[in-house]
Amino acid sequence: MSDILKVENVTLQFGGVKAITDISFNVKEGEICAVIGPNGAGKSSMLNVINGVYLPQIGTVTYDGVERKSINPRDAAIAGMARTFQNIALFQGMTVLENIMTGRNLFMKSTWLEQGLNIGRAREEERVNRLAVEKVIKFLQIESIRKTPVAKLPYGLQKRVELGRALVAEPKILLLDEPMAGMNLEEKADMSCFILEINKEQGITTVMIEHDMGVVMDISDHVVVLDYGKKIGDGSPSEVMANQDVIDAYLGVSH
Amino acid sequence: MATIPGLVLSHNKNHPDAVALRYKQLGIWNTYNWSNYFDEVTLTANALKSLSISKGSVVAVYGNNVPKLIFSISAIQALGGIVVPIHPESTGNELKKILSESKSEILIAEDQQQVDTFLSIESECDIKKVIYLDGRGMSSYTNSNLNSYDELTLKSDTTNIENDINSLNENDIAFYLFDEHEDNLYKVSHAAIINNSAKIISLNSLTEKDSIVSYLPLSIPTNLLFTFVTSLNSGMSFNLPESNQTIEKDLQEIGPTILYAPSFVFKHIITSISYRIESATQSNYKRYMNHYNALMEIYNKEVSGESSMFDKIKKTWIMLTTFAPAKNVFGLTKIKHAFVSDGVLSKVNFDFFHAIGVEIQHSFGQAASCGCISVQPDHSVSSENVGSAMDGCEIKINDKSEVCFKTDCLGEKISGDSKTEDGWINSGYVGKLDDAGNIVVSGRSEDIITLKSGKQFSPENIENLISCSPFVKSAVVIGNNQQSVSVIVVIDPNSVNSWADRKNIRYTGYTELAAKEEVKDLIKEHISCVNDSLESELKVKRFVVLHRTLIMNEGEVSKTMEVMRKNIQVNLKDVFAAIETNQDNCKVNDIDQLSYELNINKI
Amino acid sequence: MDWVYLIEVLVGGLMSGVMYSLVAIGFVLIYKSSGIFNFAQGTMLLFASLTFVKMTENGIDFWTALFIAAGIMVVFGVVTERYVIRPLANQDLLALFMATVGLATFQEGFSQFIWDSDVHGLQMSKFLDIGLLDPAPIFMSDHIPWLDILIPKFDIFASLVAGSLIVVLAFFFQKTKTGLSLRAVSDDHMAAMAVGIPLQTVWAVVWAVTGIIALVAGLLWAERVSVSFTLIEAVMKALPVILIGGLTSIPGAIVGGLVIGVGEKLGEIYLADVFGGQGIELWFAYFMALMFLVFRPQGMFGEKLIERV
Repeated sequence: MSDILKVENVTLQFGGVKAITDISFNVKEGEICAVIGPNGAGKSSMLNVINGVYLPQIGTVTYDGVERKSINPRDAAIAGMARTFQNIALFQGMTVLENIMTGRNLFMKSTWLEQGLNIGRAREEERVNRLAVEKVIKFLQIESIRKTPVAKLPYGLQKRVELGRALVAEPKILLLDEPMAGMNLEEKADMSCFILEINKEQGITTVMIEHDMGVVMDISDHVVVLDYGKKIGDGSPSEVMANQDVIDAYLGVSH
Repeated sequence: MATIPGLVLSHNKNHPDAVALRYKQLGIWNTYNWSNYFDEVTLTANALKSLSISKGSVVAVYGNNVPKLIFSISAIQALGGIVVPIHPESTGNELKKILSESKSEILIAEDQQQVDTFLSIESECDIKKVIYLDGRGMSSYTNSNLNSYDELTLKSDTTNIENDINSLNENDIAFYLFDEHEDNLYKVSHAAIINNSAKIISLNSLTEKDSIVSYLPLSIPTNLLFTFVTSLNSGMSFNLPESNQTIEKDLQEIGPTILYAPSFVFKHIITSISYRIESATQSNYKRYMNHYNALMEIYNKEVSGESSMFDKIKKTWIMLTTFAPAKNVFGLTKIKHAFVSDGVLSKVNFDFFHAIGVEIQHSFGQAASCGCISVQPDHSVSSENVGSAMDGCEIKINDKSEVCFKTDCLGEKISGDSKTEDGWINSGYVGKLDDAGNIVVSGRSEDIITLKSGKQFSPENIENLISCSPFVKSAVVIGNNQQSVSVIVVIDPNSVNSWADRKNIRYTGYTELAAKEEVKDLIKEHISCVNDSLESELKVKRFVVLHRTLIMNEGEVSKTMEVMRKNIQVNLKDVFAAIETNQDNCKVNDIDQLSYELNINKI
Repeated sequence: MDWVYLIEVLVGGLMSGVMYSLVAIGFVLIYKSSGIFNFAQGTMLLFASLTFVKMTENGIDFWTALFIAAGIMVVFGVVTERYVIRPLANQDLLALFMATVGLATFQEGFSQFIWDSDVHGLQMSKFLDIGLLDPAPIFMSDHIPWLDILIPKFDIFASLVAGSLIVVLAFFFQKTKTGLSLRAVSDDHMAAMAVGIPLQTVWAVVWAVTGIIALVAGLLWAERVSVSFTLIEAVMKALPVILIGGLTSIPGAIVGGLVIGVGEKLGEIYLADVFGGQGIELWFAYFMALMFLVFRPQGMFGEKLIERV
């Protein structure tokens, strides 16, 4: 399998503070790659560099064969990157259905006039998009809440809806920022199943940031470990587990 | 000559465009008319033929009610096969037992959950092929015995199966039904179950214009009779919900006229109303309580024929402002008949449903009686009985107070030893006949408790009274060889949660909530209330609030949520021992290596 | 109490309420999409109607002038987004607010610079031959015998125009992708970008739509109070409306407008004696808004901000 995403020598600074220092890693097409590390290790910054929220001072990101210095999040979405956020970024005023529908935004080509009057290709487009959304709703088993405003949902379900919104965009690569943060055991198990299934059955490459070591080791094909903005481990889960630097970082050996 | 597939065939002939089945998928209600229905059955039957299913083949169907499973039932039977419905939540052990005792050759499983359960016991049974209906999550499964329903029907053809159906005999076996309490399989013929449903149809004047939503698995014998066979026999539309979580919404949208459910479903509705009210604003809460009390007062007057014009107007107003919306939430607006099986509702709940115009009709039946031997007539106002024997049935009470019956719609034990000498079948329940000949069931015969004083009683009555509180999910009475009665109480997480929120009680989870003194007081108060209506010997003297709910997978409750005493006694032996030896505390080594301490509270 | 008179008052109130609503919707749209309280709303009304009036005074016919004015407002909206709002994206909200203050000042000066600062009358009946623009009021008793009230025809015309514009807008924002995108953008910029919603385009659309609303509202108001800088003050009446309706809700703006319209008229007639004199119309709307602020700070339909711990 070829590399769908290459991060090369990326350094990101905020003012004088280095959030990420000279990090490189590759993500193969079709794998689940986990980026892990203790709090403040630069994991979320890494994800934000990948989908263009932050522009790194040094280094490049090559996605789908195109090397680039900068991209904005919308262009990243057009290029087939979908993501979720650490602190759920759902549209709180909308229902579950509407939220997931926004994920189909890039598939809506008809003009507002056609949509308003529900004529021409708007009608067919509406049908196709609604079907795609409903398939995702069924997949994530959230049929019973499709008309519920997301603000009323418990945390675990909101995370699921957010995954749905990313998934419905039919992405090539899925970026998940701590998909299991703040969940109980049962919710984590459900979420792991969904992620695995998305990856194995639909073949979507997944880059996932996670804090929870246990879950990561169970479902990832490839693990990258960050600590204080530096890469300290890169390999299969078993390789990483055996890496002394990783053990030290997780057991909290002083630097 | 009526057979299950024969009914489908005749509907297809007589009114091919009438609605046969509706199910919701991807947010949209899809409709099959009888012609589509028959086409699907044909396609499935031809697919099954290729797996060499023929007369006498036994096929297990293991899953929830989804259209493919419904079509499979008629398809199997069209080929002369016997259908063994299995509950989707059945564990490996139960599955193994049913498969081997029924000598099933082929298993039709709904999805990954059922396939996984089967694979865990595959080596211990003789299933040759598994057909799964939904292949999600199984793309990496390599077991060569697994077949996808979709692929099979895609390769299948539409060879006419009318001749197969016409060559069936109505006395052929249609189903093997599993009775959880008896732990046994029963043979049920086409004629027996169809004739039994014909009785229900004529007693209640059901027509093809009615509609029913079937949301419980057809492995429950009463459910099979009241929803599947009855709708097929009367030609009414058979509606399937989208998923188990969407039932309320789906009921609302379909607005069925017939409802069938085991008693636990109605209890659940009461609980849901209660916790919605508990979490409502103070003014809404007060208004609801006032309306509730006024409604029940008017209802009691109605029953005794004393209601005035003013009462009628007041009731209309109360219904309009409070209970009509509540009824709508649960999809009960259009219900004409609500059949209840597997237990009875307590008087309070029974009266409530009648007061809001949902005519509850208790029924009594099990696999051995094809799901029903008695059903209350329309407008019956007594919550105690389960109706009198239907046509073709006879009831007597034997010397051990057990309810025995004769019926022309019999389900015979698969082992063939169920017929007693004189033709009377023991139902396994104790009870009596009232003056009007109605059966009053008090509980299962093996559950009867004997106090030290020699006093015998059925625990179900006390358990029913205690669990009629919305805060109680279930109750288990203990008392064999005891001075007095004790009870294990399982609180309902939903309603107690909202109650605790209202009272500003802090807790992190079920276990902590169940251990709260306030909750114990709440339960204590309720039990004291119940005690007032019990004779002195049977008053509950001690209770325990359990730190978990009863688990179906562990066999602690039946598929219809009835308490399964035997298994609870094994799993919670420490609690039983502590109560029997008069301890104040007990250390419980529970299933799953859980251990915790429980207080035994006195009243 | 005279019921017929009360009905007349209510109808009058509702009709002026619709006009308030229209102005309030302009505020709400911009606030919803970008979180900015647009101080320049008033000058946009003035600029739009002044542009229109000057063109008609120079002999351009009604529809052409309307079309050109609308075009200018759209261009103005797009330019504002591109050169005022976009450079300030992700900046402090106060900076954005100050930018709109600047915009207002600029627009006021710019209007005077290219047009003039005279008071212009606007009489649409000169251009449009519609019965409803006839100055004579309708006597309802001609149609419904017991309903002895009179309604100025222009009020009917104005509320019809405003009402249909509101319906079109509501439809636009409920049924179209742009509407869904706007609601998404108003909820969460970051997430909207990540699902591929073009933030800038949505903002530009909103400013352009607001410009058109300003034109329609400006013309309707100008017919009543003339085209002059007093028009800006009329806009200030929309402030209590959004306080009552909530800054984030279009239905709120509509209902808020109606409430203020009716409340004001009722106050004027039934409370004027209590407070002495006629001036009550000037402050009663603000008093109502104050009451709302005390008891329901998020407005009638506004979103309650729930902070999760």
